[in-house]
Amino acid sequence: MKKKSINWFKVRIILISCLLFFCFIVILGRMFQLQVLKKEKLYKLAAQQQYGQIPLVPKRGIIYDRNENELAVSIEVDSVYAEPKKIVEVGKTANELASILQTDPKEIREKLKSAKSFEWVQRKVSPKEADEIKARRLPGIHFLKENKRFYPNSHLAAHAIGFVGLDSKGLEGIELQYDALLNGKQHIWMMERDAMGRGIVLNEGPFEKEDHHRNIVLTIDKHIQHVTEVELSQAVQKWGAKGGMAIVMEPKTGKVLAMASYPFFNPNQFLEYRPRSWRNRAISDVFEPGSMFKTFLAAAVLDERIVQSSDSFYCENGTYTIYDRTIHDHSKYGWLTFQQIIKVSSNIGASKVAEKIGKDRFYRYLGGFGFGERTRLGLPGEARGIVHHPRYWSPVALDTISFGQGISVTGIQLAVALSAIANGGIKMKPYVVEKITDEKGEGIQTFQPERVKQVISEETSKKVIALLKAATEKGGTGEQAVPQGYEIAGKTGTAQKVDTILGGYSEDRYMSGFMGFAPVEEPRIVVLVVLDEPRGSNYGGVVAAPVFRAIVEKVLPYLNVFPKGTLVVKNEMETPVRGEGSTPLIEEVRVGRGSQRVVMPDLTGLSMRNALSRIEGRGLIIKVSGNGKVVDQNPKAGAVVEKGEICYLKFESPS
Amino acid sequence: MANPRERGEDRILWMEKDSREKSAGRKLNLLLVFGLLLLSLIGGSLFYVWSRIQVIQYGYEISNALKEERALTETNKRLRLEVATLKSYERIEKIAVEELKMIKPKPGQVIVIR
Repeated sequence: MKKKSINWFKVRIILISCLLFFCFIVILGRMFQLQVLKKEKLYKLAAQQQYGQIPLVPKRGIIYDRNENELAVSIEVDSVYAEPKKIVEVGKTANELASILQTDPKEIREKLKSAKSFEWVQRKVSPKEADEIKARRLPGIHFLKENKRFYPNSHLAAHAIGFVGLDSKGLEGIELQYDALLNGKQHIWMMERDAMGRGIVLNEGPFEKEDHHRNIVLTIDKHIQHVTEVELSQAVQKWGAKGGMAIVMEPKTGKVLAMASYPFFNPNQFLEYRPRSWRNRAISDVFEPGSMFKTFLAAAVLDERIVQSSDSFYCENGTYTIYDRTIHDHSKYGWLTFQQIIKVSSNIGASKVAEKIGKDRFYRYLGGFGFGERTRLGLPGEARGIVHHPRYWSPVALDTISFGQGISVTGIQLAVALSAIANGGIKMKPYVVEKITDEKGEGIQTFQPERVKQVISEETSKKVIALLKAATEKGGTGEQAVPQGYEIAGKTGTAQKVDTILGGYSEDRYMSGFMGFAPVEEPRIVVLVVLDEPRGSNYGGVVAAPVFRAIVEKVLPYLNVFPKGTLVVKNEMETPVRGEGSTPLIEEVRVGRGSQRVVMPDLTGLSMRNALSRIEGRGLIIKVSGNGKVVDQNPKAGAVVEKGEICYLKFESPS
Repeated sequence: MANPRERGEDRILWMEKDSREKSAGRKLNLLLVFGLLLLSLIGGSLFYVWSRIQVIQYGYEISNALKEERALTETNKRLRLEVATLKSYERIEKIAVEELKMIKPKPGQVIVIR
């Protein structure tokens, strides 16, 4: 009886306890599984839901000219991609995309049928195209932001700037050289999301995240570059030349102000041009400099004091045979002084002068000027030129090198060497990058002019300049290079091109060049112009010298160096024009003796140019204020004024 | 002995009156305190909830503002590019020469104003 009486109550309690305990264990186990074993994975999953990830496209720095005009800018554009598995109607989608993007529907259909989960449809489309595609709401078609490089000035300075490929990687020029600095790092912007997937900032936002891309400021000046390119292209077209190059440098500092190569290309669509148009001829092409090289012969012999400008040489009446070679002059000359040899560019005279200095000393000067080595101006693809050691020179090499045959140089080497002469014999390192700035535009690194060495003495440089100046005077080969109102120094060059098929020199293919600087007293710019295979005429003095003149004529006024005879008038905006009748109280003004009187004309309503040209040459000191048309003048019209008196003109624009 | 009840009554009455008043006052006080506590608790939690809502609200606003900022920065860049493109000398020269029929001055025609 006792045994049979089971306490069901207790049993139930025990059973339920066991059950609860079991449940507890299960829960505990599950917790362990979730919180310990699967922790990482779940965290990740949660983060994916809770945080939106916005990949920020790496920015690319801007390239500026020296006045901070943008030359290369990156902006974000949309790239279209497809998730082929999610596309409903392949044919329709492909047709719509093709009609918007103006491409082949077949090609797009192929892409949309692909088995991959990601397929680019078209990268970097225009904002208009992107908007149109977005408006259609095509399933499976999405967008990604990418940076696209734009060159707002199209072909301006394209060879120096270079271009970037589809993946924002620099492929040429500055873009290649400074690729690592220009490119920022890829960032991912993490943002918390709510249940609806909307972004919400709860913690610290993605502020002050630095991108670390750098901007590059070049020494190139947009204005000078434009002038140089226009003049060069006009000349190349006029003479039907194969190509051309031009360099403008500042001799004091070594800054490259302009660097142009023809044919041009537009870096916005670089793929539409042949790769050979991408080549920066000014630094990559080596050529025989021809007579331009006599400049450096002159520098060497004058610095060694072997020859004086007035020493005379017999020029063999135009034909001079030495060893197995016969050297010709373009005209027959008898006795010429060294100065005349340079002026008329006599090859025979030059080789006779070279014989005096000898191989080794001449070679030392060539090295000093930087021939045969890269100038390291900071652009990729620079050539060294070909300058053999005198040990390997053939017997006639000294004679031919004296007039620029048997030696190959680059355009930039010539410009740098001539700059040394213009700069009192001091060779400066050329450079194209002025400074590197951070994303806020604050300078990080500024490049200063770097003096390389004193190649020739200052005294010699003056003598060479005098020779080069004579070469541009009447009767010289560079006569056509002189712009009105300036004095320049320079040397022409015409070199036969090497015939790569037949060997030797070509009879009808030439390189024609001119290099010089201006103004001669205080050189501000060195300009080199070379045209490749001009037709019609091949003389540097005819083909290239006018280009030099045109460039100098336009660039020097821009640099505030005005031609002689320019009327310079002071604008006294701040000082108010004196009232009627009151005589200007300026001590320097001396009242004339009454013998040279003029009647003041009525200038009211005239433009500044007209007004100034009317009273110019009357011996009055003209002071102007304001802009526009003359509204007031003092002295008044009809008044008798004496020479040397100050005449005030007040201008105001009609608006 | 006739008065003990009376007295007692009296006493009780007095006592009752007194204690009733006292306990009533205490209850009132307690209620007041409890009420205030409850109110402040509710108020506090309401405030807390309100502040959280505000934080979230501002979170949305910040995130929208950031997005807008990025979009505006991009627009600004785009416009600057447009300015740079329009400032291209090639274009300006073309307009000056072809549309406005301007010509380059000869060296003698230039008057410099300083």
